[in-house]
Amino acid sequence: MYRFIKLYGALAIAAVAFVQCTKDFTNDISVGESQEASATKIINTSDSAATGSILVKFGEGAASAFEKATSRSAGLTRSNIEPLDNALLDIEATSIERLFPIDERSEARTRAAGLHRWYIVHFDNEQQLDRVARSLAAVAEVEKVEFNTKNEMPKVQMVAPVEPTTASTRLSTPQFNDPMAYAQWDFHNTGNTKFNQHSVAGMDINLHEAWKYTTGDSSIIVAIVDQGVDYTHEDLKANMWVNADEVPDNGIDDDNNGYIDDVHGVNFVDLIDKNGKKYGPISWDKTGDVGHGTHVAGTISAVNNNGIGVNGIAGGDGSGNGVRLMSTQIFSGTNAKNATVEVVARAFKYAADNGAVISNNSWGSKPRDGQDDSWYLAAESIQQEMIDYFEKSKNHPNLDGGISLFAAGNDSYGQHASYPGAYRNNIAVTAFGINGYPARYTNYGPGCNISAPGGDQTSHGGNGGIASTISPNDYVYYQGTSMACPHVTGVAALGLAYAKKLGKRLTAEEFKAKLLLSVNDIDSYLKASTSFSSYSGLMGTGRIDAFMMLMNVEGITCIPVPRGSKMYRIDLAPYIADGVVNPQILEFNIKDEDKARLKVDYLRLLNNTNKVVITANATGSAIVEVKMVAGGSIPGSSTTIGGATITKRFALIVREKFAENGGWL
Amino acid sequence: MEDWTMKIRTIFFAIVALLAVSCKPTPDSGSSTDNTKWYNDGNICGEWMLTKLSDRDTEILVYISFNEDSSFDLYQKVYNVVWLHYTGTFTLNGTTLSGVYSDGKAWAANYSVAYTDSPKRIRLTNAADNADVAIYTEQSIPEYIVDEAQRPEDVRSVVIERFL
Repeated sequence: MYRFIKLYGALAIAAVAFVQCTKDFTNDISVGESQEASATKIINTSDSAATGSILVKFGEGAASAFEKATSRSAGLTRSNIEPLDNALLDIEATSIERLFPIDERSEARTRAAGLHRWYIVHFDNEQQLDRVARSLAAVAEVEKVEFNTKNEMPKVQMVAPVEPTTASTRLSTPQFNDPMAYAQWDFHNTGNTKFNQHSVAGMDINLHEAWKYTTGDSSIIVAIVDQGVDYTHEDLKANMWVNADEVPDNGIDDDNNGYIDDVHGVNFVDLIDKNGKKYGPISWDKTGDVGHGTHVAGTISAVNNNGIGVNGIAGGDGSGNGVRLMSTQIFSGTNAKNATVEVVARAFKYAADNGAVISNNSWGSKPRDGQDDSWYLAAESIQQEMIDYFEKSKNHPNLDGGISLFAAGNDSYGQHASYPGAYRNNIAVTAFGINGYPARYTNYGPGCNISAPGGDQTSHGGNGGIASTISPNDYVYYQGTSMACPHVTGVAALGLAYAKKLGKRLTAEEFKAKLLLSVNDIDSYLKASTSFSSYSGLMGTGRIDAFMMLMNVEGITCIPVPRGSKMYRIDLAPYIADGVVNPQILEFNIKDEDKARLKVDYLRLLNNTNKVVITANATGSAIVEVKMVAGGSIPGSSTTIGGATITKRFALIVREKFAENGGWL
Repeated sequence: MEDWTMKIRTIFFAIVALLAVSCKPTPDSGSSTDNTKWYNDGNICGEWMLTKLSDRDTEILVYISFNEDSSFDLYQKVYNVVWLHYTGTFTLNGTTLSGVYSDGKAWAANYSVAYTDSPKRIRLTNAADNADVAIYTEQSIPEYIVDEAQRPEDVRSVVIERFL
């Protein structure tokens, strides 16, 4: 009996132990799987991340729970989803809120994009970021966890005041009466060596020619994503965007866009809660502010022809028609939240939801080896998602999307541009100096798409920089790709103004192609130099040309093909940009019905050339779409930093004969 | 006397009838897929904008002014990004239009001309290739184009290959 009891007792104990072990083993398996599964939800690393906050994307259920939440615990909104609430308590969260404040006018679009499910969780700065991320990721209702990565503003390296003009330094007669126009060699460079001994004629954006056609349009809003823009500046205030639905300084979100008193924009760094809304008054004079936003704003749209200050590329003609500047502030003094993903994402959302069509971004992350598009999308996921959201917004009747320009960076880094500019769908701007050569500081290489004046004061002295507006009511030369970027932004704004004048409506893709191909050759110039030949092919498509942009906006370039000519060879290079720029052609596409109509029985793009061989046996014309790389020789991909892939339309004309002199008849 | 008067009256009305027939615009024999009626009589003088090429709407930018003194001004932004201004002389012989540029180069082709109204348009059909048809609509040439267009020889030109 005893032996029986002993046996069955042992068996019972073994069974319990087995069950217990099994249970423990099962728990170990579920924890292990849960840990692996939850680890994939953490989409970036805590490198360069701000402390004290983290971004979380919830499933629809959790998001809905928070929206309906009425109960709070320790001051924290409760979702009443136990594992989630427990995780928040575990990390000692101090607050949780929707990343994007509710803007009733765009809430439907926000929800359709799933953006209402993004939240920001705040906690003590002492909390270890990786532990916080793991705790949240372990909750089933959490889809993504993203560290709040910080971007940087390229350092302003030199400053020089803009001096009053003298006879010897005066450039050719300015178009308008702005007294400091003489200082803006970047707009119109006559090679006046009395002004600057390094000056080379033509090394500018060819703006005076463009101004014969348009000087801007007040229907165009440009978001300055930067330090705050001094909207009281004497040479900016008339061109500041005014949120007409907002009553200034009444403490009320009059237009229900989620922000109080956002008359000229919002400071997303110093946002505070006020009566259930957000309040972020724009600032520009805190310790650590250098007037960066004010300076880039002036390049784009300082008021023209007002008898004071400088010119702005799209600043109008003095009749109030300058493009409008919206201050979407992402830097404020030395704030630890400067240009975090949270701040940048909110800035782009605001710009998109409040009417901006172009954004200027003179900032980025420090470039280093090992970065590529995959890294970037993981590191700054919601940030790029919001840049894409902005670019899909249709905020202007003449453009079916938004355009964003980025500085390539000031690290003298030759491997690639800084991100976000380096991302294959973004445009990164490199800098050249008053002599047309690359500025010493400019990043260059893959991911750099186009070049513009940024100045090089180290090499050429103070007035070799870019003259523009600074607080208070002053003007200064700065240098940087930060200064180069707004030149391309200004040209984009001018191009859109011209499209409106002509009644043309463009797709964003078409507009981007026209912008990146409105350039003068830089590579031949570099190759011929002893000091800068190594930059050839690495500065982007070329030097931006405002006049060419307007001409590209206006019409379509035609490629003539003689009818019946067997294996007729087309060299595409002469039909692109200034005829010398030679981008890598990827595809040459004609629709099948047009091929049939023109009786095309042979068509081939010769590999690694810009030549197409075609046999077309019927008279007529058709649109062809030519896909090419803007900046560098290879298109960017998730693992290879490269140029932007753009598509330019041409009109193929097939006729029996063409006039020898190129005349149409 | 009454017979003679009757004869004169008959002849008069016959002449009138003939004249009426000959003043009426002569239909053009060319076909049009949009059922527009084209006529062989009209006035080519005026300012015109290219609107259709081989029966399709076109984005190609061309303006032509055919002037009373048989000169023409051609403004085009075709193979370049800039507006170019070509000049020369034209000859209209019945319905056949030919021309020479000021640099001595002949037009690529002679054209047969047809006209229509509502809106006022001309149709130029390549005499050697009747698939090469361009329709121009009456349109004043914008002043900015007249002011800004450059002479072809002054432009750092796109290479125009010769295919003659």
